[in-house]
Amino acid sequence: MLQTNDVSLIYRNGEGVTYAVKKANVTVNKGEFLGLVGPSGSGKSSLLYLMSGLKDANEGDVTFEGNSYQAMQNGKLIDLRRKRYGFIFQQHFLINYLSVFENIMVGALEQAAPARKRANELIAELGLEKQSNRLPWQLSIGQRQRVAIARALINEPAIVFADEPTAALDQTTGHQVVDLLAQYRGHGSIVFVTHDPEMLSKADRVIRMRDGEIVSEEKQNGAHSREGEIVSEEKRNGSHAREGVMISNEKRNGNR
Amino acid sequence: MLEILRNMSRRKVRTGLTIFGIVVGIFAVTVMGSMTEYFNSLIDNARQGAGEAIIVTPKGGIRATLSTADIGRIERVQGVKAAVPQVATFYGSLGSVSFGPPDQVLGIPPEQILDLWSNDDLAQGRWLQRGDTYQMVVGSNIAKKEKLKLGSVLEWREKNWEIVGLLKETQTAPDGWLIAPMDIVQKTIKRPDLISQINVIPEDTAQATALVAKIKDQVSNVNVQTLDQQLDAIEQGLAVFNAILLSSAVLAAIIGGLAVVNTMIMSVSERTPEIGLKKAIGATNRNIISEFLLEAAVIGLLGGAIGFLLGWGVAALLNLAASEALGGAEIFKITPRLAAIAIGFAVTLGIVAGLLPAWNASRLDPVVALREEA
Repeated sequence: MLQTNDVSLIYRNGEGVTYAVKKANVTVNKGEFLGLVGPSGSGKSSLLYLMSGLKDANEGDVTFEGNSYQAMQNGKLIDLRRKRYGFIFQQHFLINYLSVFENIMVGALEQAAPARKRANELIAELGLEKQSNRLPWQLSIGQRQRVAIARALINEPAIVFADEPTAALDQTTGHQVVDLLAQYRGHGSIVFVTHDPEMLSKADRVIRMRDGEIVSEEKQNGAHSREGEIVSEEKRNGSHAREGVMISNEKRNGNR
Repeated sequence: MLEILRNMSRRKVRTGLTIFGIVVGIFAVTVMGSMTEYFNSLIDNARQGAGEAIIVTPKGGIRATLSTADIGRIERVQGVKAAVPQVATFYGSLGSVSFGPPDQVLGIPPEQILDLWSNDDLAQGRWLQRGDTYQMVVGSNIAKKEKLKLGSVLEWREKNWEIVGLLKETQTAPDGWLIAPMDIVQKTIKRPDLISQINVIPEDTAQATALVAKIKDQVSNVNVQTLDQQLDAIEQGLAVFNAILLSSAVLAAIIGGLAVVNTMIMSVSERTPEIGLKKAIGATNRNIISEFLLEAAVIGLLGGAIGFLLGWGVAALLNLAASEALGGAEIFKITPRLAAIAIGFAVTLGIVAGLLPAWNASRLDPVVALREEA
């Protein structure tokens, strides 16, 4: 469903260059729970930014359902993030003057009745009924992160990108968050970035990173079956060649 | 919109002070603007009633006078239907306060009154007629100020004058006029030969401007203008006054606008992670700009509406005070045009002030913005 093809993210320091991500090839299959793990500075968050279109790759390309990010007009990539992706970050980033319900609706594509119904369903599923009208500062840290999960799921995204969502939580709360996200597997895919391998016990597949490079990729025991399949390297290269229409990074950065 | 108001209410003191800045500016714009609206309405109303009358005044300053010989010369100019002399003197003392045209006693020969006026101009009573002596027709402000009705007696210059007619309200100079027989006014002010101006009625009103040139050619030592030209000259003088008045008010409002810039910059800075999140989950640059511009416009709208209402209230109070002190004269005129200009200006000011902060917010890199401390 989503593939990265030799993507690199480069930071320039004077005359030198540092690879935050170096020629990474990752496939996200439909409905799977993919873990990205590595120590601090290993490039896992940077890879997530590239996969989700929050950062433009300096080298290589990303494709979603066969569509190259590089070939997409600025608006289409934004549209993709809004309609097909969900995001959860280390901090909850709840808007502190909006209630729980309203914060969830921030992510909604429209404010009409179906979205409101879906928000209420998520509130019930995540056990936030009593907190629905509360403001973020009236919630515990775990509850805030649950609201952030609901906000990410409001549009039933194809992929949820979770960037260290448990880093600020204690182990118990962190596992609760992972469990909640794992329940979404099958409805959509989850890309879960963490430095704590323990949080990935429910992942179908785990990719380990170090110094910007993928060092291993393994399926986990008891991994759920999924509908998608890993696309062969040949097919990926072919797709890249067909759709890789380059547009300048400067242009894309302008309206990211 | 509700979301914006709630966001603004989070920082009540800061938002309040910012709105206050706009309120002060728009208050000034409203009060000053209502004064210029009053002066403009005087001119507009005078222009509507001006017709094509030609005004002849003496050259040589305030003490100069026209003569009966001048009347004869003007009457002989081809195209002149009538030449109506008039004498004018202040009704009150020179030191009395007046906004707009001063109250004046006009002496006009009764038999020529209907060359200048018609019975439609009267609200009550009759015009002066041949044989009248100490009779007067008065304007609406004079009637209010002196509490005059038909048949009332007014004492002026130690004489008693009977009120025989009341003019309709014009919201211009005639509201402050007292019209009496010319010879009696000349006698009363002890200037039996004084003629302040001659009103020339052209045979063909379409030829008024050409007639002005003819009179200038044939009659020496006089200034000749159509009433319209006279009003143009007054309007030009007023334009400078209005510009000074309004620019000081606009300056006050612009200073208020700087407070909006400051508030919006602070708002963008505080809400950087929120902007980052919104951009990450698919908000476009346009969405972000719209959000911040709307917030700035709401600040402008609130400040503008409150400032305008305050200005309106103060103008009404001042009008009340002036009405008591000056006898019915209003010196501030609130018009729908002024309301639209004041509030529109406040909203525009807010939007302009919010442009740069909104633009900066829209350019934030979502990843960088998300790394800011929440």
